[in-house]
This record gives sequence, C-alpha cells and structure tokens, in this order.
Amino acid sequence: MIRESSIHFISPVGKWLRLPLSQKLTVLHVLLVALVVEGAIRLAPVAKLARWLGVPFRPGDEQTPGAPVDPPDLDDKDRRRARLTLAVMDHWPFVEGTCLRQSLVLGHFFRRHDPTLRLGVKREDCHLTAHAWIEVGSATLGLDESFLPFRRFV
Amino acid sequence: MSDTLKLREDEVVWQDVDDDLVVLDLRSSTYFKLNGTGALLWDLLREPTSQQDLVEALMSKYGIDEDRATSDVDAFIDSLTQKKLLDR
Repeated sequence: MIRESSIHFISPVGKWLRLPLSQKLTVLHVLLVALVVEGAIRLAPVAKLARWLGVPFRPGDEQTPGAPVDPPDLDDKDRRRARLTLAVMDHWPFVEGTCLRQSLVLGHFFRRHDPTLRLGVKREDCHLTAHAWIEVGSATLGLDESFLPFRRFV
Repeated sequence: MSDTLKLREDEVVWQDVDDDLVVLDLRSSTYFKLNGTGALLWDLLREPTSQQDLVEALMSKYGIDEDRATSDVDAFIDSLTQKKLLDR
C-alpha cells in the first residue's frame, strides 16, 4: 500500500523529470503563475485579478473589443504552454474545481491575443455550479455549453 | 441617511437559472441565489425606491399582510446591506 501511494505521489514529478529542459522550464513557469493566482484569488476580487493578468472578465453579452473573429494562430510555444498548463492544473492540490485558476493562467499566457474571461452558472441536481472559461477571438477554451454566462444588468 | 434605496448594479452580474436569479458579486467573487420574491425586490431596487414601495409591491403581488411584507423586505435589505450592494 505504501509503495502504491508513493507511486501516485511521484508520478507527476517523474513525468516532469522525463521532459526536455525547455518543457521543464515551461512547467516551472506555469507552476509559478498558478501559485501567484492561487494566492491572489484569495485576496483580490476575481474581476480585478483577471484584469491584472491580462484576461479581463467580460459578461457574456459583451464582445471582446478588437478581438479577431477567427481563432488566433497559436504558435508551438502557445500550444505547449496550454498543454502543460492543463497537465499542471489536473494535479493542482489546493482545490477540486480548477476551472477559474486554469482560465486565469491560460489567459495570462495568451494575453497578447486579447483573451476574455467568462463566468457562467448552471443548476446541477439541487445545487448551483459555477464555471470559468476563456475566449480568444471566436475560439473558446474550457467552455461547457450547459453553463449560462453571467450578464450585465442593462 | 436617505430613505431611497438603489442597487449598485455595476458591482454585479446575473443569470436566470430556472426560476431563480443568480447574482455574482464581482467584488467578493461570491454568488448567491434569489427566489421569486427576492427577484421581484431586486428588480424594483434597480431604480431608486423606498422601503415602503417594496412592502406595498410584496403585498400587492403575493396578497400578504403588511407585517409579513415588512419583515421580508427588512430581511432582504439587511442582506444586501451586509453585502454592500445598496446605495442609500
């Protein structure tokens, strides 16, 4: 039993050790940003934090100003960062639902593409569940269409 | 202190989920649910209004007596005041 739980514990580290150096550094960068987000999310309002990270929150009925209609061309570095961010957040130990943290970290890395943070909600059985995703142009990352985006009062 | 109440709408976003109104407070990053009564009061508070107007709206809509309506309105206003979502 001890042996089995040790394997589970070291597995992400073992995977990291097998990565090329450039990807090891990317994972460390992702970890650093994710740790900053983890701390800041407990101190700052989410809309303010999102703005600081370069992925401003916009209600669901607001378009991203100046954003391209087509999905931006993500270069290899973007794609690698996205993949490694998802891998890191899959193992994130501090909370169960990491969609908000994941969106903030990904949005920060994609900030030159003018990403937008969206927040939504749905009823699941008797409970309300919130979800976060980002939009980059017309592309979405992490969207679950069963969630309804929060809107601004007009 | 003024008798007029008004919501701070720029601090919140919302979504209808079935029969409830779900409101996300962007400053506290928390969300809460309003039932039909709360949604009615919330809607009235989007314009400057008085506590008495809210009481009369509840009495008219649900046919309840003034004491019950006043108690419900007071509780709702207290809750919004604690969340700092009301301008007075």
